[in-house]
Amino acid sequence: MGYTVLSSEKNRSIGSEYETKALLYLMNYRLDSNQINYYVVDFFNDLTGMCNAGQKLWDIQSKASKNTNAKALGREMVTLFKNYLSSLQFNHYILFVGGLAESIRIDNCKNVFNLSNVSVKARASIKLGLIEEAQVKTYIDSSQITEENIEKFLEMVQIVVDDKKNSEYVKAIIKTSVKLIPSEDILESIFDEIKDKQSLKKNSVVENIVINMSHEALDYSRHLTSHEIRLLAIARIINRNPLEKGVPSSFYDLIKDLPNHKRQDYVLEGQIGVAKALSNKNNVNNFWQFFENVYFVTLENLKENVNSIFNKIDKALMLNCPEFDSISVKYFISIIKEGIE
Amino acid sequence: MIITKVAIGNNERAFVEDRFVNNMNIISSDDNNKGKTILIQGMMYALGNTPTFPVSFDYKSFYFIVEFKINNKLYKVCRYKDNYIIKFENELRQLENTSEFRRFWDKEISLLPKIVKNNNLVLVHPELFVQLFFVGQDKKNTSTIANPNYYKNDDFYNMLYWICGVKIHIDETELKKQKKQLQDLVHAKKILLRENKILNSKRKEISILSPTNDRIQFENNLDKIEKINQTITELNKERNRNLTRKLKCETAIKEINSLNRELDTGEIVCLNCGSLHIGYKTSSKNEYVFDITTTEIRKEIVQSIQYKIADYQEEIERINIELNNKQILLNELLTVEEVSLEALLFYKDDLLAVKDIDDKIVKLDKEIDGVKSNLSAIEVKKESLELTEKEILEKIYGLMNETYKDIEPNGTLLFTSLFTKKNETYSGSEQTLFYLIKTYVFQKITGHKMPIVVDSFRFEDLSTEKEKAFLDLFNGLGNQIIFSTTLKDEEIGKYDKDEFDFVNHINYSNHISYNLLQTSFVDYFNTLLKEIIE
Repeated sequence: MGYTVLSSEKNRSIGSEYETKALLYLMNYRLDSNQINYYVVDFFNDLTGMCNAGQKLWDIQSKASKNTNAKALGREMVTLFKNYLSSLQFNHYILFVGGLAESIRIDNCKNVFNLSNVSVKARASIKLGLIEEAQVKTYIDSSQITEENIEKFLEMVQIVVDDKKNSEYVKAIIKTSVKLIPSEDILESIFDEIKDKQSLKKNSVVENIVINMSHEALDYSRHLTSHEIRLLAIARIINRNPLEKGVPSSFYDLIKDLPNHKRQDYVLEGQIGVAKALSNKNNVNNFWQFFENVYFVTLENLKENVNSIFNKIDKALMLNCPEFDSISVKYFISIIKEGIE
Repeated sequence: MIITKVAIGNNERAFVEDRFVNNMNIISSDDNNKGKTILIQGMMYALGNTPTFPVSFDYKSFYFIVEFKINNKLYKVCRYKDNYIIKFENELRQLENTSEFRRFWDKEISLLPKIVKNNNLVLVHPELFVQLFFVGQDKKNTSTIANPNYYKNDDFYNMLYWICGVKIHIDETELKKQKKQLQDLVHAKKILLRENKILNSKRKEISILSPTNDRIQFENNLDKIEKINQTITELNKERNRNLTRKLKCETAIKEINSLNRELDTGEIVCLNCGSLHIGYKTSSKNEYVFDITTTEIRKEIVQSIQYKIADYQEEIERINIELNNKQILLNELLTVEEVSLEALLFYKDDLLAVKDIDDKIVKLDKEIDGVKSNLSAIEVKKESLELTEKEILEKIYGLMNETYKDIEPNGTLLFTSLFTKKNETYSGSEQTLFYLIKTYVFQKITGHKMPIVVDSFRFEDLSTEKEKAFLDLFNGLGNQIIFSTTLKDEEIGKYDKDEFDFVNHINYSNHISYNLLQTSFVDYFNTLLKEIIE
């Protein structure tokens, strides 16, 4: 029996901020974060993490409300329960919430926990809420709402309470990749960009599509990857307006022996080339591939000078970005080098 | 040049060495004082070297004979005190001192280098020449040439330059003379001008009547014009550069604006029912969804470029104003002032009074020009000479260091001179390396054909490995090699082994200590002597 996509959100909710937080939680704050590569948006659920091979799944339902009570908590679990009952195998069921009523947790300091940290009374309410909601939903076969299924499912559910600002989630992406700590504004704007793209993913229609294997979900272009998100964050911090910042010192090293007017020409040439490449809106894929190459080659050869880094970058990728010539690429390398040194 | 025989002796005692071969010869003995040094010193003495025998050896009572071949021509030289008798191809020459011997050598045997000594270009004495291929055993000092008396280190350098092809030289006396002359002339002119101020006047009228003044005014003007012209050229260049930058920025903005526009695409519609609800399947290839930059940054970039354009424009305007000013100045300088006849008449009498002086200065100017051009010719020659000499030395040091690295890969010496500084000392084995490398490199650089003679070539120890390396190097030169050494007990017989089969081993071990010269050689010696004299 195939898996039918049901209850996808269709319209953007104000909860989309929590969905992005949930994504960044999956990406950075779990012990198994590094196993997750794809974030499938609004397909199985609000968000579902998937490993590189497309086999392991982390299913997340997010709930923005700050003071959710136990019964509401149970009701929110219904989509997770739906997936639990489905023919696909999910490995983790996570409810990501903005906040909880005081009485629910036994230890209120624990923000990531399972039902063992929930008081007996609250547990009963959760169960009740889930059963009630499951019975209402048409996409759940009521014959499967058995005591056994419910209990087994509840044993597996993990609850995560959001306790961080948007900017903190972004900072976690780049913790070791860049030298300068960007301003709160920049971090917020990166968060918003991720959020926007995540919302945009919901624009296509997937309702009633049937898939047999979880990795088929990737065919519908509803996912983001850790890789591109990480690269985005790095790029947004490093690739600022090249004309406003001073000349990177490693670029200056290359031209320091030239006469003054030549130096000025080289700097302008470099800045304008980078400016053009950053302004091209129609060469997105090639730019990111090239940026990725330059970033990693620079990172691996930080001790070497710009010329020798230039020798090591992939020239085929460089040629795909026609705004770049060798001077501006060296300028670009210098900017990146300065950003991560 | 190949040494074939060396003989030392008189009617009572004598020694003859005739075992030399064309390539490598090593004279060895198991102990000191077996006569190696006497033989080698004797050979060099017969070739005109200053005597450096041990005090105990009364060299003045002996005849010294050396026989050698150059291009298969046999020469026999016999030296007794400062007298030389030379026999070659049935010719017999008798020379009374080493200076004459030197001249004879230069004319008949092979060219000797010439160096400037006391302002004269002279032939070097054998004393200096032999240091190109001979290293003696005693009184070694790495900071000077051997026997630094009449000749100094600089003379050795100059000899090397000469051998390497630097045949011209700068006549320093002439240079000094010319400089002095220029000084005198300039001084004389200055005094004349000071005494007759009218000739130095800046008035235009004077320049029309006086050639001296005309020249002064013209030169002053020319200086100013050149300076302004230079500034104008610079300003022009700078203006162009700013213009180019401005244009580059303007083009960039245009390009960015076009790159900034997203290409419009249509939307997909189901042609059957017109529905926009159409699913889309992408290839699973990794596609990037994020924009390259944010709108804010793109805006900022365009803004920055616009500021730059404004800056360049301002700069261009500033340069324009400066240029105009300079052009006005230049025009003023180039305008020829009208001079009225009245003004000319007014100064005529004053100038008539100094007409002789005027002529004198014109003449002085001509002489000054002549001397200046002479001087600049000498300077040019001097510069090119110094450059060539520097190149030669660099080549020598380069090869010395290269050879050193080959022999001693972990060594720390770096040769930057042919002699060490006075306070610099080499350890014993370093010193030995230094002399051997120098001697080797001199041949490599100059390509000389003289026999390479090193007395006690392993002086102060040289490991067996390095010794072999050096012998291979020298053997590869093709010159005749005459080395000597004292063998340690455990080394006796080493040169007779197969690995040294290229060595002609001449063994002095069985000589009686302190008694190289024997009665048994007297007959042989006399025969050799007679062959020369008769």
